[in-house]
Parts: sequence; structure tokens; C-alpha cells
Amino acid sequence: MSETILETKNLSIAYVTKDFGTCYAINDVSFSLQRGHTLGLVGETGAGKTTIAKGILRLLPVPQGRVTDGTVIFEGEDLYGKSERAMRSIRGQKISMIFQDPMTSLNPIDTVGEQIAEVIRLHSSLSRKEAYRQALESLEMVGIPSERAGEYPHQFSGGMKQRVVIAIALACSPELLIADEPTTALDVTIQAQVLDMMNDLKRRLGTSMILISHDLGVIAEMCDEVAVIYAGEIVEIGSARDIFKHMSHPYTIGMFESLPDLNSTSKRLKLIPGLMPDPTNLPKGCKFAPRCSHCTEACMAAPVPLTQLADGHLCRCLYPQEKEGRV
Amino acid sequence: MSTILEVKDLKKYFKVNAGMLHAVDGVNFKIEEGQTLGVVGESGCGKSTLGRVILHLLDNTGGQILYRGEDITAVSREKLSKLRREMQIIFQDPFASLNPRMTVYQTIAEPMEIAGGCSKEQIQQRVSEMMDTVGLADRFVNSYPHELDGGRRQRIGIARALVLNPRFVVCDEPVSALDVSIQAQVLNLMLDIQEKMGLTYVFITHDLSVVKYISDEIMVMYLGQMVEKAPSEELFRHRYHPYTHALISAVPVPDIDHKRQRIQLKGELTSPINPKPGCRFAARCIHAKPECFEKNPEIEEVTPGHFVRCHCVRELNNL
Repeated sequence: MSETILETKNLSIAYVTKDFGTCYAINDVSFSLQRGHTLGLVGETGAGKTTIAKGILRLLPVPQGRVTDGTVIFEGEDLYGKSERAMRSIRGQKISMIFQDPMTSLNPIDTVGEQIAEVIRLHSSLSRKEAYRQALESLEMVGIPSERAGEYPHQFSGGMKQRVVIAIALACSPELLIADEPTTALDVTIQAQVLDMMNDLKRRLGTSMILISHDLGVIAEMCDEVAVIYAGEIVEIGSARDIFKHMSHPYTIGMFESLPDLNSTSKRLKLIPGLMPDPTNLPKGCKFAPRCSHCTEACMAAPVPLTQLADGHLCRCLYPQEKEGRV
Repeated sequence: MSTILEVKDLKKYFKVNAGMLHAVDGVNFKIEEGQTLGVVGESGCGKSTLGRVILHLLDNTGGQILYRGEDITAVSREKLSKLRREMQIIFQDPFASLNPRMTVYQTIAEPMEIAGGCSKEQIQQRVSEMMDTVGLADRFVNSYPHELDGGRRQRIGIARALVLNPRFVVCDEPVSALDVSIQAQVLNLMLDIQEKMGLTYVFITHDLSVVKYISDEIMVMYLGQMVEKAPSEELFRHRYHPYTHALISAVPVPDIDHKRQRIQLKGELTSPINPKPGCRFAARCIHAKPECFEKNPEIEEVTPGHFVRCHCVRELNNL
């Protein structure tokens, strides 16, 4: 039952620029995803979440983006060993991606029905008419009446556009869906509709998913496993229960504590002082050390390895702080 | 405590091709000095327009805005420009609201130069005081916005808004563009400054957890109208309007054991252009009755200090 669908092994990605030097965006990221599960990647802006997603699909900008180490295994095959042609048939068919901004990821001069049909025709030998008929089904699946297939993106609201983007991503029934902040641009009530719909589709189609978000609430609702990303590294990874109930890395704890809580009555938020380090000039030791209240000389001296705290729960800290989750 | 701002039946309509867009449609509220009024609602509900109209940055279509008893829509230009020193705004997007060609110093000093009456030395001293207050290190004084991250840029926006010692500040989504850890830093800073300077805030946001944290009183807006208003604690304990219910239940809670009883709303925000008679929320409301589509409900004070605009409020909540 628990079969690994995707695995990244020591993935490291750097952006090489002439003006700013080398930016170490992703360092030594390893995780694996079981079929049918959802893995959440959480972290702040610039932590490297989106770069991981692009690294998996080999969509890094050329020539700056470079995979300096590691590899990605999908259904037992090394994606980095594949030709560009082979990659193209994987993208959209086996692995699909939903980009963050629904307003800019649709083609404004094509009807939404055509845009979905295009993906289907690219990955199958269906006739134009057959593909369009399937596109209508996809639209119905995400809750848009098929009569609207002939309309253009600007005629849809934000939530509807995001549904269209999801319909495109799911049109070929991919094995793996990578969703990059799929609901960040939406209002909460619309976000609730879209999240419910995604959960429902995932159950029905058995799709595995990587969900990228900075919103811990969204992660809690959707994910089986969670990886917390900070400055291009996984600082803590485990089951959703490990992360939400037994969070151990000082950064994870700090992130939870700095959230305004609907149920709390306190008048000041706890906060993490300082800012994320500059990725062109990362600290030698623990990347979080300069902002950490438990920091010692040992933290600064050498890179800190991920260590296992419990089965499947790993934490990159010399002094893990097991803390009970908030109630 | 005295009332610093009172808004009476405020209306702002925009003329668009398809008709009249009712952005703000008959809003009433009062704010006491030193308090924070949170304004929440989804995009397109008119909250930002409201913020701009109460500062008279946009002309109102109808109603009154009384700032310390004086109707600012009726005063002379000179008087208004004096009043503006006391009334400031912090904008949403620290990436778009700063002039990219002005240094931190120039940006913060500009309001003082425009207001006039200060020597160069006084301005210099005041700018460095403000940078200190908002936690910007001296070394950034000659930096340009693009050299700074979002949190620091938002601090510049705050310093600029506060440099003339205002009493009343409209904050339009000041932390929405920031990451959680930076958001916490900026929110704490805004609370500290409020305590120190005795400021009154109107805090506009779509984020309910932020608004709960910072506000004394909360007003929920839907399609240009206030649908519910109550003291912050009260609103989260007893919410009476079906929309407020749905809005609060839709917020994802960062707890995996949280049992969600989500109230799904049908559809999306209906159009604010030439709104139909009847309750604005009726088309999405699960409790809507025929009368809801005929007559727009009046605002009603259901318990002391708690205002709701709903025909069915009493039967739905057993009041």
C-alpha cells in the first residue's frame, strides 16, 4: 500500500548570477512522498519552497538555475537522467503543477475550454472534438457549469479562475500534483471552497500531492506529512502530527508562536527577532542560529545534520525543544 | 474619552459603464480617541474605499465625516490641509507605495518639508527619532527602497505616516504583504506606538486573526454595507450575522485536531453595481427567506454595543 511515488535525494540548487554571486537556494533537501499522500512544504518567502517544486519538474530558469547535487526519483525513475522530450511528456500528464497566481497563469486570449482541451490533446491522441468534450467534464468536476467553457479568463472571478487552473492541472489525471500556494490569492470563503474541492478530488482520483504554503492553517487541513523549510534547508520534517503536536525545531516553534490566534486573548505577539539570512552569504553553521535564543558556539561552528527524534520525525537542531502544540 | 471620528450615513458610489457601483453604501460608526476599529471583509467589499473616503482622499457621494466634531467634507482647503497632518494613512503594499527614487531619509522627511515650519536640523532630528521608533537602524538612512526587505519597507511607510505626530491613522492592510514572523514584528510595533503616542487606528484587513488581535471594536463589511459591529471579544464569542459566521468558520486553523464546522457559502460576492433591493447577502445565505430578497434589513442593536443587519437575527440566534 505505502509505495513511494516521489523521492528527492540530497537535492541542492543554486542560482548563479553575475551581479550578486551564487545564491544557494536549496541545500541538501531529501524527502519522499507515499502514493496518495499529501506533503506540505511550509516556510516564509524566499525559503526555497517554489524552487524545490521547479527543481522536481526541471523548470528552473536557464542558465542561472543549476542543480548542483542530488536527484529526483519519480516512480522509480531518475528524472534528471531523462531527455527534455521525455520530461515534456511527464509534465502535465504524470506530474502537474498549479501555480500561485490564477490571474496570470491563464492565457487571456483563449477560452477556458480550449485551454483545458489543449492539455488533453498534447498528452493523448484524442480528436479535437473528443478532447473538448473531456474538457467540459473537467470543468464540471471543479464545479464550473460546462456552458461557461466558451468564456475567456477575464469573465471569471479569482476563485473561478483558480478552479480552471486546477481543472487544467487535473485534466490528464496526473499521479502527482504540485500546488504552489493554490489559495493564497483568494478570499477566505473562496479559499474554503477551493480547499474542500481539492480534498474531494484527491480522495476520488487518488492523486498524490505536494502542497506549498506559508499558511499553517491550510497545511493543517490538507497534509499528511509536513516539511518546514528555512533558508533552503529542511529544518524539520515529519507527520502532520509530529509537526503540529510535537514541534521541536526553534524555528517551527517560533513560527507557530508568532501567529495571531483566534482563541487567544494576549495583547502582544511572540516573535522571532531578525530576518532570514542572505542566501548568497549563508552562515557556516546552523542557518537559524543568528535568530535563535538557544544558540551556542557549537551551532555556529559547523553545519547541523538532520537527526531523528522519533520514527519519521527529523529535526535539524542540536538542542531540539519538544514542545506541545497549542490547543 | 472623546469621540475622534464619527461617520454618518457615508456613501461612495463610482460611475462605471454598467451603472452605479455602490462601494460604500450607508456606513455609520464612531471611534473613541485611542481606540482601534478593525474593518474586515473580503476583497471588493469596499473596505479600502471606506478608508480613503474617511480621510477625504476620495470625495464622498453622501453622508458626513465628523473629525472631532467638524465635518471635513465641508471645510476649506487650507483647513483640510491642516487637518490632514493629524490624519494619516499606512498603505498595503510596501513594494508599491514608496517612491523608488527617494531614499529612506527623503521619504520620511517629505511630509515635514511639505508641512513647513521646521529647520533642516529639526527635520534631521525628527527623522532619526522616527527611524528609532519604528526600529530602522541608522545605517539605512540613505538606502533606497529596493535595497530593503518588505518588513523594513513597511516600517518606512509607518515612519512616514507618523512623522507629523498624527492622532488618527488609517491602516490599509499594513501587514498583508508580510511573512508571519515579520508580520508579528510589525503588529507589535504598531501596538507599541499606539500606546506611546495615544493614536487612534482604523485597521482595514481581510485577516480575521490579525483584526481580533489588534482591535477594540470590529466592523464586518459586505458589499459596501456594515453587516455586524461589536467589541472585539464580543464578536468572537457571539457572532450573529450569517456572513460573520461563515467568514470566521472559513479561516483555516493551524491545528490538526481542530474539528471544523465550516459553513459553506454558495457562490461568490455578487456585483456591487446597481445592487438589487433586499439584503445584499441573501443570494449566498443559507437562511434566506422571501422577505430577505425584498427589503434590505436595517441595522439593529441586538445586545448593548452589538449591531447586526439581518432580518432573521433573532430567530437564528434565539435572542
